[in-house]
Amino acid sequence: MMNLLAITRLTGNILLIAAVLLLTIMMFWGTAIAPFHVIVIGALALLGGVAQFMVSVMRPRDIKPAWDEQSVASHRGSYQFGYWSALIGFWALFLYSRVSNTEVDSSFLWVGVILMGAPSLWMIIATFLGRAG
Amino acid sequence: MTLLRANLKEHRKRAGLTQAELAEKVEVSRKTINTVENGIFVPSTVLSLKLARCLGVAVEDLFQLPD
Repeated sequence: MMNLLAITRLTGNILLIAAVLLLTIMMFWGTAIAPFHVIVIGALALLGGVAQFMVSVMRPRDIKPAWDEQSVASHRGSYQFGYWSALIGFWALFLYSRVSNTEVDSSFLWVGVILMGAPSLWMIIATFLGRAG
Repeated sequence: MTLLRANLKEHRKRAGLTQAELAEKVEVSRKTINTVENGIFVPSTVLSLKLARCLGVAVEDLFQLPD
């Protein structure tokens, strides 16, 4: 049985990735990415952090198990994954913008989405593989 | 390549503890106990010492380098 802090962290990550997937689907349906979409995803990330903080205050005994050394290692891995995803994503989008009609502004927003989404995706996978929480 | 051979499961069962009970005693998640037992996660020195102390054995009884 996962503790409440770990559950809160997982829920926040799932909601954020769901928003990213929704945005991706909207893009394929012809909706252009806009700053508003990125703000919504950023707000979800921030709310997830606030929720974790509140749960930590209410249930301090959940903190150590939820952030034990294996979870911390997975969390560190998520940042590394996020860095490389954003770096590869930037170059892919930059080069794509050079050979297509895609605006650089849109590419910039998508890099932001990748920066926020990649670590969350890593943590979700790590959690279900038993490597976090 | 296995970095560590773990006998944690045997000693845990000998002590009559579940993974969750042992996890609570050393303040980690049950999943961490599981991955340590299965040789997936290599614990830190501190966690290894905590586990050994909790189970009343030496660290070398719990973990060995593979041959």
